Amino acid sequence: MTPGAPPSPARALDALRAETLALYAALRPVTTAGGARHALTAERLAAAERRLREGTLTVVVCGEFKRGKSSLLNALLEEPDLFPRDTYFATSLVTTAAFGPVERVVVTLDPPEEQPDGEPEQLEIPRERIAEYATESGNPGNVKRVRLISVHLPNPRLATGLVLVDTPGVGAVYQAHTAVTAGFLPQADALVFVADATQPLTESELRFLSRAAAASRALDGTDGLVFALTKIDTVGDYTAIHANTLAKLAAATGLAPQDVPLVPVSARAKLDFLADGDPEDLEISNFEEFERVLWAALARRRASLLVGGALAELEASARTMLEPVEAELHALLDDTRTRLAELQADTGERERRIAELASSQAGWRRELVDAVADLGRSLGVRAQQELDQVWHRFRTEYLYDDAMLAEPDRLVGQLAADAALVTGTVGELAGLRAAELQGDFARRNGLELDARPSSRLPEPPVPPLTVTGRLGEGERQARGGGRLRAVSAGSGMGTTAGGLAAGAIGAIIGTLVLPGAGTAVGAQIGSSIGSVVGALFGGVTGYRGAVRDQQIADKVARRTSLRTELEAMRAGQYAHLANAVRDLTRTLAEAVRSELESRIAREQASARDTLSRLESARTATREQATRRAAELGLERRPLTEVRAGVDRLGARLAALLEDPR
Amino acid sequence: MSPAGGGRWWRFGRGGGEQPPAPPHAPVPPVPGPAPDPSPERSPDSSPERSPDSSPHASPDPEPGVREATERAVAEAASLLGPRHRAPAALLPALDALDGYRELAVRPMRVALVGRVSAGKSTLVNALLGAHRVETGAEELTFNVSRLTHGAERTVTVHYKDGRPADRHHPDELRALTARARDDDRAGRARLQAIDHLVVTDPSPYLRSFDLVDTPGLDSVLGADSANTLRFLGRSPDEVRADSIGHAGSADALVLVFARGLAQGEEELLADFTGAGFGPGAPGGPGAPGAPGGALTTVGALTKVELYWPEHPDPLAEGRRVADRVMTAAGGTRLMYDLRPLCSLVGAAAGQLTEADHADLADLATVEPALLARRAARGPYFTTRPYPDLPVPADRRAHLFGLLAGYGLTLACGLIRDGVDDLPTLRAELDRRSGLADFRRLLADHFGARADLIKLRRIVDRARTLPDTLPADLLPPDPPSAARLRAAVDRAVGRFVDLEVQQHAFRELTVLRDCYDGRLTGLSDADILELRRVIGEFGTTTPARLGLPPHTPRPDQRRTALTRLAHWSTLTTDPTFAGPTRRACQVVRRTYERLATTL
Repeated sequence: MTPGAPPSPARALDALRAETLALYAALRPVTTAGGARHALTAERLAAAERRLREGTLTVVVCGEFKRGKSSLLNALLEEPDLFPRDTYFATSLVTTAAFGPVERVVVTLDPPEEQPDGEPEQLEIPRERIAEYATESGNPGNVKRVRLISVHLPNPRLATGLVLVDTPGVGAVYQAHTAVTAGFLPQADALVFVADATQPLTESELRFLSRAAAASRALDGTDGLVFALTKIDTVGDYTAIHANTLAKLAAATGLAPQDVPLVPVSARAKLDFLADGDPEDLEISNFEEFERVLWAALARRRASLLVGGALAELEASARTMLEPVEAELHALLDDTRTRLAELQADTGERERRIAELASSQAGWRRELVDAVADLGRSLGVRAQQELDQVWHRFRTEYLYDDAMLAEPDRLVGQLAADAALVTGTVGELAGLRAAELQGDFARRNGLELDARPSSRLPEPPVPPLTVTGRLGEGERQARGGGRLRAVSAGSGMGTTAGGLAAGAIGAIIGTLVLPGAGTAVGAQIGSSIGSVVGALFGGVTGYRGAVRDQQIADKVARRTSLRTELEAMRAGQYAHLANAVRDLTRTLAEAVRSELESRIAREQASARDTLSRLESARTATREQATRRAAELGLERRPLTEVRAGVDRLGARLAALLEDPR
Repeated sequence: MSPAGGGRWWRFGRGGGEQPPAPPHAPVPPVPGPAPDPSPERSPDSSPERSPDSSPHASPDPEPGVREATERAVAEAASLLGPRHRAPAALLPALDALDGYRELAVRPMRVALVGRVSAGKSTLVNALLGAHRVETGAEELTFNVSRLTHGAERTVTVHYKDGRPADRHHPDELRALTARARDDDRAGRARLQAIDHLVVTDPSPYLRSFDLVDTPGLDSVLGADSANTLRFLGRSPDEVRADSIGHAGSADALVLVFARGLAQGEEELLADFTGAGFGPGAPGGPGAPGAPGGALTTVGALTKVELYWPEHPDPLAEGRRVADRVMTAAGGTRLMYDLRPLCSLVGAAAGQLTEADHADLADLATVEPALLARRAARGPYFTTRPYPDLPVPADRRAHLFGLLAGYGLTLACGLIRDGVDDLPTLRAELDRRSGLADFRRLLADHFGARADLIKLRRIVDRARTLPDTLPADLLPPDPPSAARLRAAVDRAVGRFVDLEVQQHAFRELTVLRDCYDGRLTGLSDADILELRRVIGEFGTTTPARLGLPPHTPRPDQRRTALTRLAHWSTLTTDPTFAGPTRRACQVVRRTYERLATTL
């Protein structure tokens, strides 16, 4: 960073997160001192803190082969030799880079073909050996069955929870890989798409992008898309290719050209700068601008949600712990005892109301069931509409594409990738809608996390808690066991599609969702979306054989034949997606209910604490009251300080959201 | 550099850890250098070994009698179908086809360049001819097929779709035509829209061995600029694609043009071509019988590899690595004889550098090499910024960079520093270092030397499809008269089947095709190499076919021929060989017999 420049979004976000974590640390002695009284609050705070600490900002890096993705990643991380760049990457590989206190490179290998159901093997290697697994020369045709290479680095650039995911590509040949990328993409916080100043974008890239942009629009806008135009150092003048690329990207994403964040960069120049320190290299690399744009996108997308959710939980915890203290203090300092009676009456009333909410007969439970049913229905309709579009494209576009007609494999793969994207998008959408539902119910029943109307933060996500009031159990259960049953695709699973076992496709998507994604959807999506996409592909392999055998020269006859052949695949996709939506909705409903119950339990604990404190205040002597008031002043101070801190940080977060620069 | 004419070694001994076989000794046909018009000097790398009988300048008759026999078969087949004026309507398409074969037999061999729109086909044509001959800038024209053929002077003849008479222009007029059309000149625009294809004549000696057909592109979706141009021309990307495929399908041989990294992975690059039907046996596509395709009639060019620089200090080496991967891992061997990496921009520039450019390059050559390389590696700054330590102003630097790219520029300066001090030598050396000189030689060896045979063989292949020209309602069940017609066509086809069996040259081609399609199992790598050599893959003179130095005395040649004849006779009787392998051994044995007889 240049000295004197305004703090970058990365820095601002980093600071926010660190200060929020400091507030959590400040509350910890309070909950510890409170013992059983604050047990539930302590549990919720610990979970929220972990979500913030482990919460990741996932950036998916997409682009065709040989566009310099490895160089770009190395330059971004300022690790010149991390990913081998002078050779071929094995094409079926996913690479992730995340923060870790010590450097660790772990290779995940698929079980051998003889035991398709075996456990994947994990192997720790030094970074110098990445090339042996990641490149075509070290691992020709991926004979080593590498599924994933995950790199943890003590790199300050990753400390905020940035996770870089290098996906296998979006081309038309490896449909299985496109499906992996497509299925995973909707969960990503940003997509960095790599274009190249020395060659125009291809048809298949643009097709992928237009689908990705449509998926983003369906979620929360396209501002998570960032584009890099690499290798500008190679050409004398990149204005023409920049304009050309911009026009194509605008057309594919539906954005106005001036709104397409296409940053011309040179990763090589950045790496040269790191080696030689020539400032002109840094200048032409344009990486400062690139990082600024990337972080602005990240801040807008997810950072707010991550930090915002953590702040809201802090505020609610501090408030529910502060209320009994302040009530007791008021009662002690009130000589007339009229205030005490008022407080006792109010709190008693509140306690009764909360007890009603906690009852198994409470009205909100029935309403929630209805609302979830509505949500499930609307998601189902949405999924169906999106799939309708896919198959509309099949009939009106793919069937009239000569290249696809000549090689129906490509066509079938494209259909599967499209369906994978729909599945991922609907999954992510389910999470968003469920969060809204949760916020709505909390508000209507006086259970919102952050009651202040000034708050402009988005709804916090539905946490992966099945809170029962009994500590610890719920979370473990949700993390480990909350998996959806794998949607079966008949015998298709396990067969090979485009060099990648169908089961492995789901597994890769599953592996990509890192622990600490911190939402119910995050916990779910790895297993459910992964298995659905895997199943979609597994189902595909059967059709491919049939399609390949056709020796029909006549295009019209070929089209008719393909339409008939793929009818069963179409029906299968609808059924899989409907199942996935049903399962996901059920799990989300469960998570929302648990979260609301947990909040009710906390309110209940707070009210009971207040009542017992008011009772002891009533019986206190004047002398006792004076001493107690002094004690309470000490107890109150950290809580009010935390609330003030939350206000401060909340305002800063809002400012960051408003002006990401 | 890989040896002239030598296919790369990966076809043989793959995975066996063997070294490439020693380069076959190949006489090198004269290579027209990129020397500036009008002085057609040879480039310095023209080998002293060249021998007059392998000159591609006149299509040599590969086998005495093949042409006559083929023409006779066409005539006989036509007479079997009866004179045209008395022939039933059902036979007219077959007669038309035979007329087409007659024309095919006499016209020059056509080599079509196919690839995506921006793959650099036109740049490659210019680089091959060593001069700027086809439009690389005026998009209106690059969306038409251009056929370049040899002629005494430079002309462009425009052929129209609507059958109006073709007009002939001087090449420079054509540019004016497109410029006017863009300025809302209606007549000009209508004329542009009606263009079917262009025929360019050029005195380049390189065109004496075959015509080059420059096709617009295989893409079905184009960038905004190109799409605008197409709208202006009233055409669609699909039409252009169909046009490209059509013209390529009627060519005799293909150059598949790959732009480096234009797609994800090499598999997708190849899919471009198989998707367009250039793969083996695609139904109804250009890969159908008689159309070009397959290793025998296809070579590949990986263009613009200089853009691997500065990421890769030796871009041609990186290009070769990519090319090897296309051929091996991605299965390019099924499609192509060879794939060569080319610094095509440098190659094209080699034909166009002026004395003024040379002077500027000489000035830049005085700059410390590391500094120059560092500056040139920041293209956008190199072309615009005032650098006091560079003796050439930014606008001139931009001009040179546009011509040569960063790699070509540092390469040229390096050559000048190493003592290359005149423009013709610099141009020739750039031509060589770009890979173009070798590529020309590959085309001359692989296509040029056998142009006639490849063409005649196509006639034989296409003749097999004659029965398809009969109307569908003639097929069974049909009345006896229809059966008679079919019998006549079958008899006509029979003439060509006889030809294929009787003419040894055709049988040799069949063996080569089997070889490249991987059907010759059981033969050792050495045998395969020898088989290709004796059939003339590395040169068509007798010593070349025997793998001997050019001036070997005849008795020695004869001795070698007899030794090899004995070897192949043994192979012929090997009981483990069957099918194509056995047939190949028989054909090679016969080839040696024939060689021995002539000696």
